[in-house]
This record gives sequence, C-alpha cells and structure tokens, in this order.
Amino acid sequence: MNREALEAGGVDVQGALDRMMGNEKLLARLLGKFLDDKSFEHLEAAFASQDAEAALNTAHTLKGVAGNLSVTTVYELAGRQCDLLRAGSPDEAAALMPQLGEAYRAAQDAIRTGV
Amino acid sequence: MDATHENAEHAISNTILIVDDEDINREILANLFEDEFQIEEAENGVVALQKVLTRPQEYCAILLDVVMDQMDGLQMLEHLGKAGIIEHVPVFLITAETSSDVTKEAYERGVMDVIRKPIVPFVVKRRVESVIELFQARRRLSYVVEDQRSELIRRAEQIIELNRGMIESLSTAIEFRDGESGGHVRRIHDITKLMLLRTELGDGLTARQVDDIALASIMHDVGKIAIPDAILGKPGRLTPEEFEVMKTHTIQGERMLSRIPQLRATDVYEYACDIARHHHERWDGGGYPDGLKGDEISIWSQIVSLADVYDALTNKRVYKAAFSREESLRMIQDGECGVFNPLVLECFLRIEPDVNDLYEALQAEGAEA
Repeated sequence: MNREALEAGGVDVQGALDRMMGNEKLLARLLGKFLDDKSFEHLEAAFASQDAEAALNTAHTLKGVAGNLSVTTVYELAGRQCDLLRAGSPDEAAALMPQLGEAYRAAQDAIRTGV
Repeated sequence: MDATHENAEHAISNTILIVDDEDINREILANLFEDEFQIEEAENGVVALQKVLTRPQEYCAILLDVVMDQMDGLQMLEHLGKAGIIEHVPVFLITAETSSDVTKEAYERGVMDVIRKPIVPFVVKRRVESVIELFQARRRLSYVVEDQRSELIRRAEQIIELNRGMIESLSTAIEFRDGESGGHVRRIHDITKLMLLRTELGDGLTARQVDDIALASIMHDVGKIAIPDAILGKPGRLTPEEFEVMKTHTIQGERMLSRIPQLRATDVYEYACDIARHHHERWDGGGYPDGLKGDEISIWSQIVSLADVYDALTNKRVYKAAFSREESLRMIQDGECGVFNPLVLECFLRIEPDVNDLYEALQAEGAEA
C-alpha cells in the first residue's frame, strides 16, 4: 500500500487504519469497493434532476462512506453539501459539485495507484 | 461467559445485526465486533426487520443506519418499538447525521444510543459492548430468578401433596383396621367441602379455609387407633362398657393430633382437633364427649358429624348392612341418629343429590379399579 500516493489523493491512511483496528487488508479491500461505489453518480443525477431530497440523501450517504474510509476531502465537501441542502440552499450545494468531482476523482486515482 | 448456566431454552443471544445500505460501512462495523460476536448484516430496514421479527431471541444488539432506501432507520425503530423488541434488544443508531432533530427523534423512539459516523472504534466498541453486557446480565438474572421461582413453587406443591398424601394414608390405615374399604375419609372430605362451598354454611370462609377444614375432616377418626381390635371390629352391638371405650376415640384423636408439632404449625390444626373431638356431639346436647349444645359446636364439627352418619348409614359396616339412600335420609330426619341443627340438615338435604352422584361416581371408579 502506497501511503504517500493515497494521502496525496486525500485519504488519511492512518485514520482509516485506526478505524479498521490496523487491518490493512480490510482497508485495501474497502478502498477497492469505494471505486465501485455509485454514490457520487447518484449525487450528480440528483442535482441534474434538481431533486433536493434525493441530493440530500445521497450526499449524506457519500459523507458516511467517505468519512468511514477517511477520504477526508470528499467527506468534508459532501458534509458541506448536506448542511447547505438542509439549510434550503440547493443552488449553493450544487455549486460545490465541480470541486467535489475533482476531489472524488483524485481520490479514485490515488486508490488505483496506491492500493 | 459461563456456559454451564445455560441451556437451550435460556441461551444468551450473541449476534449483532448490522443494518446499513453501504456494505463498506457494514464491513467496518463487522470488523470491530467479529472476534467476540456473531455478525449478521442487512442492507435495508425491510430485510433487517424481517430477520428480527422472525428470531428476536437471537440478537444481542442492532446497529442501525439512518438513511436507507427501503425503510429508513427511524421507521425501523418504530416497528421494533411496536413489536416490543426494543426493551429486549438494544438498538444503536449509527449516523453521519449531525442534526439534533434526528437524534432527538431516535431517542424518543427508544434508541439506546446514537453514534456518529465516521466511527471512532474504541468509542463504538465500548458503548455497544457495555450495553450488551448489561442486557445479557439482566436477562441471565431474570432466567435465574424465574428458575428459582418455579423450583420453589414445585417444591411447595410437592410438600403439600406429600402432606395430604400422608394424612390420607394415615387416616385410611386406621379405617382399614375398622374393616372399612378406605373410601370413608375421602367421602367425608368431599361432603364437607361440598357443604361449605355450595351452601350458606361456608359464608365468610376463604377458599383456603374451606380446603383446610376439608383436610381436617379426613382426620376425624384418627383416635380409633387407640381402640382395641375386639371393640373396633366387633360385628354386633357394643356393650355399654365397650361403648364407653369406643367413645374415647374422640378425645384420643384430639390428643394424638396435638402431639404432632408439624401439624400444630399449620392452620389445619385447630380445625382437626375440634373435629376429632366434637364430631359426635349433637345439637340437643345428647352427644359426646362434652355434651356440647347448639352453637357451642362449631359449624365444621356439625357438618362432619352429619356427613359421618350419612356415610355410615348408606354403607355397609362390620356391625350393620347398608341402608338404602331413602331409608338413611328418613332415619336422619326422624332423629334416629341424634338431633342435628335444622339449618345444617336443610343444607345437607339440598346438596344430597350431588352427594349421591358423587357416591355413584366413586363406586364406578372403585369397580373399574
């Protein structure tokens, strides 16, 4: 596992390992699953169809998964979207999408090379 | 865990159910607990609820995500509450939610604790495991209490049965000496109980007192053990001297009973002594041993003396043949066996058809045996 590559992609490796009780194999496997996770695509679709409720639910799910894997960049942005959506500002939440997309792809690339 | 205290019926559940639509989240939680617990997973509330409702005994905790496609965590909580499962299986809400609304609602619906995502392993483990331990200890304790309680009841019932059995055996043994078949004490018991339960004679007595009096009636003739065989088994009429000896079975009976300390400690004792001593007294003072008159004789002794006479008349005895039912009733009403309290007599005549049914039933039973 290439820690530096992962950390450059926004993954707090130590934080994630602590959460898995130091189980590196489990972390590697779950990061692999994160590559197949559809939450981000669902979030894009929700904003595209301007479904604020679906957007909130998916952003919430993405926040949970990213948080548990310590993909901190994605976790923070998804969390901010949740707050904005709950506060009734769907446009401001949608405006975060390019930034979130960038963080998400960076994390994916890092996982592909780092795991 | 101490396995020796467990049996199939009282097995302590050891399975944690993890409910989350993201398998990544489920695996992280499973990884924390799989060394000490069995883990089951469900990807939504519908599947989870199905599992819990089918086998509620199996789960020691439920870790529940809030946001799920099919039935979210709060809805599932409501179902668990309605099914009465929440009191027995602690539910933990695991959520990335930071709003206090959801937390408040979850607590209102009976959730044990709310744990934040991303999870902090030692916090989750500590909080979940201590609650599981508490619930398991509570359940184990309730099993122990329940076991002890049923064991105590079983033993108490056994002792009561044994007492009754011994009293009956003793009384029947005495009857055998008398040349009786053994049914006499049983019939006296039943008549006494019928009289107390079915007529106003039992007014003011509790069910327990009625049982005690009926049990005491069984011992009315225990004094006969002190009467010589020659008198007890004499086929004909007793001489006046012999009759004097025979009469002492009342006093002898009371004396015998008073020497059983275990009996003295029970509520049956007073009734048993009274009945043993006074079941040959008569309403007009013409009975023995004390020549008591009217209300000086307890109602239970009056009942037993009438039952005793009726039973003696209608059955064959060593000194006489059995009289018919009609003849027996006529003899009693005409005062040929001494004078009875008119009220007791009236009550007896009222229930006498039932007594007769009882006799026929007992006879059929005896014939079968």
